[in-house]
Amino acid sequence: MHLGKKILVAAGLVLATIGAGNAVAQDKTYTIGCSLPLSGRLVGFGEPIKRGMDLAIEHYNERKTIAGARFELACNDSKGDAKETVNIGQKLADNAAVLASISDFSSTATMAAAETYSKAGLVQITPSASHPELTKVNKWMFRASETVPVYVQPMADFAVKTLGKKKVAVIQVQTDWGVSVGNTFIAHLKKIGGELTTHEIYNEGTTDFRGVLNKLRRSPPDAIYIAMLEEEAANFMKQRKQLGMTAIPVVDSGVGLTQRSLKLADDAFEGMYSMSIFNPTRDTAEVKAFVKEFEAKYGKIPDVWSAYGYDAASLVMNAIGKAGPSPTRAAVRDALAATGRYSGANGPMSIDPETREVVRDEVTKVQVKDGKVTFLPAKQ
Amino acid sequence: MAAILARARPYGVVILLAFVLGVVPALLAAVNLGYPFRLAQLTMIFIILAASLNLVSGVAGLLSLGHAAFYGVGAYTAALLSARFGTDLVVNLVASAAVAGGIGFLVAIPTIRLVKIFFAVATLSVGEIIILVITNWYDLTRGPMGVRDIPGFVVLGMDLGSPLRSYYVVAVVTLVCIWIVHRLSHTVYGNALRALREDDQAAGAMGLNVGMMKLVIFAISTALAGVAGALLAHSTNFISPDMFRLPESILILTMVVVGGLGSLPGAVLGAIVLIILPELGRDFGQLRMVLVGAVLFLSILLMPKGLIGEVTAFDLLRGKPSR
Repeated sequence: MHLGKKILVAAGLVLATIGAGNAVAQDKTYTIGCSLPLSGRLVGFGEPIKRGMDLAIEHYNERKTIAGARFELACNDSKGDAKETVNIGQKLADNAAVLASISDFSSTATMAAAETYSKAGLVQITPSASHPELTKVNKWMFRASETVPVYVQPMADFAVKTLGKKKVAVIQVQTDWGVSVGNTFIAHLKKIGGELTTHEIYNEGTTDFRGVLNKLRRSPPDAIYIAMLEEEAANFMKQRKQLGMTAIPVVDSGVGLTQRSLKLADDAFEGMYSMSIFNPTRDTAEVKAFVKEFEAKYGKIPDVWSAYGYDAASLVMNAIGKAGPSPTRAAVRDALAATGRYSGANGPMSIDPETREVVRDEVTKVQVKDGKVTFLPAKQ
Repeated sequence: MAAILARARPYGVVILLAFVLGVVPALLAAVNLGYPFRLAQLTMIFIILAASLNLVSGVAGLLSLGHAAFYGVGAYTAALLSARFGTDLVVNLVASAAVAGGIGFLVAIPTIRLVKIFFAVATLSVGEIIILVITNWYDLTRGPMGVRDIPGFVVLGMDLGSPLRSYYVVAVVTLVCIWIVHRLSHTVYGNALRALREDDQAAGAMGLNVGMMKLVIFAISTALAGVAGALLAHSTNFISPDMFRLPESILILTMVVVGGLGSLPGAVLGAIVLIILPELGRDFGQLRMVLVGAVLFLSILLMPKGLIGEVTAFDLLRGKPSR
């Protein structure tokens, strides 16, 4: 224990010296809190989000995007566990230097901590949580990710209008995300003149979809819309192929198709349509800069999670910049709500000042061709 | 040390009460930060969970892997009652205990006949079933959307939402629960439960109604888990089925095992260690959970009977000289 303390003190001294050496005369340092699953089951999402955030902080600090301001992250591992997210929220709220907090990955963890942040009057922005009522919880809650209708309605339009498939079956996972995706899709489908043939709901972690597929065979739809997580999507598509039902096109919500599920599914994803919030080929200066810097720093192409993290951190830093030379937590909140339009790693978007919901200008449709994700041209 | 403990024993209750209701809140109020208050509350909720699981898995020797589900039932009962009918905390605590205990009782009727690993697997599946019902019964529980806007602690119309007041609410409920567990496990009744654990056929031959005793203790244990759930619902203001899955059951079981199976002070200490240790480890960054794992491993390796083993706990609580 004593040794541990000594090492900590020594490390602290070293860090302090380095910090003092580097600090530019009048630059103020602002702390942005963060809680993400950096260990445990959800680390595959937490890590890339943090990478995106680190990149954004580095970018802002090096280019002095906000004059006179330096930023640092106070990151904590929540393991995706709701009670730890609340603990972290309380810890960050106690630290007067923290001006906003990026927390957390999942809806459950994010919403569990909402009361803590609101009591402390501290901005809580989630890079990724999808709960439809998220920003209704209190006025301190923000999101860098879009609401469900933003990427679900265009896919219903795509299936009915572009592909010309009017009779659609919907298969959905029973999570907060699955429920809102399924319901939004069905509502929009009916509105634009489509027809719902089957609506199947399964529990998270299901591996056998043959029963569902056989049911679809009895009343065959023109197309299938799936709101599934990656492993489930891979299993579903494999079994669809085994049962010889490849003639019915599948439209994915955008979450089932990942680099990992593409590998898991082998060639069963061939021809599947999907959606992508992040489009590395998108023709904006911000996206190009993000992809280039990310590749230079980490040696690989970024994914949507890193882009969410990058955008969440950038939105917060912009708000701190706008909140004036001596920003308060309340001023940061108001500045963030007044963000309006913003163009970042995930392309152009805007934040509604009242509802604090994120709306995107467009989502990119993709298709799996020859085992690769192909970005379909816009206006499809 | 043993002599000091033996002499302090008659005043044990006074010391404990002074500590929980005096020293700890005074320290917390002196620091006056939300984080220590929050950790104190969470620790006490898990003390109730560990102590109640210890009744079944430690004292009565029935390994349960579904404790978190009853904790969830309690949380949902309190959340739905207060969100829909605006009921008082006292009502919610009683209702949570009744619903969780009632379901525990019903579940126990078919499963209690199973022994050892079969009982463990049965509780595992019962826990999953309960959580799946909560997830899929959308009209009642809002399913995976969870329940939000649960009011804070309101007792007899008084808002006890401030950190210090909430602390006292949770502390008083925890003390009552601990007292119940203490009376159940350190009296003749507790000895009878231990007899079941050691050899239930022999216990039956001695005239104990083995089946009924197991049934009752399982119901009491799940009722107490329900109380912990109610406290969680009111202190977090949002609950969703994800919070009550298997990893939570395993965490509670780990607290009991690390503390010492069958030992009430052990369960309490286990809960404190397993809530506080990961938080202290935050400064170690990525190595945090490795550190926690190492501590657990070493404690099981070096103290297989737990931090405060059952026999030590007896000496402590009954005042017999240490051997």
